Amino acid sequence: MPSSEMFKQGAYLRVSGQLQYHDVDSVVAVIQDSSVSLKIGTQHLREISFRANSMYQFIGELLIGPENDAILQARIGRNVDGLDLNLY
Amino acid sequence: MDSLHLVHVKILAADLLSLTIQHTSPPSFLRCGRAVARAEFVGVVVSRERRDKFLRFLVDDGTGCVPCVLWLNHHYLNANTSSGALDSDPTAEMALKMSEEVRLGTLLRVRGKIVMYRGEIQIAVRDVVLEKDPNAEVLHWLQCVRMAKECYDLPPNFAQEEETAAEIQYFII
Repeated sequence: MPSSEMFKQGAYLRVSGQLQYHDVDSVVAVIQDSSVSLKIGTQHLREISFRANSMYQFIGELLIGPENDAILQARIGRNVDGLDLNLY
Repeated sequence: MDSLHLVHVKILAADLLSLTIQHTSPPSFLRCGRAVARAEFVGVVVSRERRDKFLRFLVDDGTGCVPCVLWLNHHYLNANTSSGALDSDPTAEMALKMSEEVRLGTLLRVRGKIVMYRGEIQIAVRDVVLEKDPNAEVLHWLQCVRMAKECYDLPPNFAQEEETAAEIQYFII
């Protein structure tokens, strides 16, 4: 279980990462930052196109399942290709 | 006289929403003892509500969410004598055009007047710029820190002395 204090049910978070894939059927995307990946629920997103390996930023609420598996239910998503992550 | 209240101070949402409110009529706002009236911030639109006379939206800059209102009814702007319509206020046409830039998920630079609405600070929007470079937000954070350190957070007396010295220098020249 992640030790971050931000890892709690309903936490309102902004996350950034490289898109690994987006499953249209389950409306779930997976983003990765270094060796860590996170599922993103994308059913509420509109006017966004998903490109594998592009950088994305999502804002939404964290939902934690019974086995501590987490998914961020995104309200907002945007492509942030070109974002200087070191500066960020 | 402190000129800070004449400019759009570059500010983070957390600082904007924690300004000291002076319950004058109209309300005024202080940051480290200095009056501020206008603000500029950069963030992502996370909610949007369109009505006939206004567009209400929320901008998240990573430190907080700033409630914003963009008035769309030019006749209403002119009739609102308590705030006083200025030449710098957007026209109805400009406001409509700006409202089209306000879409969920877009990164915006917002400038406007700091006002109170139902006990909460919000921004009466003067202009909105779509920021296409995602680094614009990070740059704004850095500018806020720098401006606070070099200008905004200086004590009022120190700031006035700096301005007086600058004025004396001007007359000598």
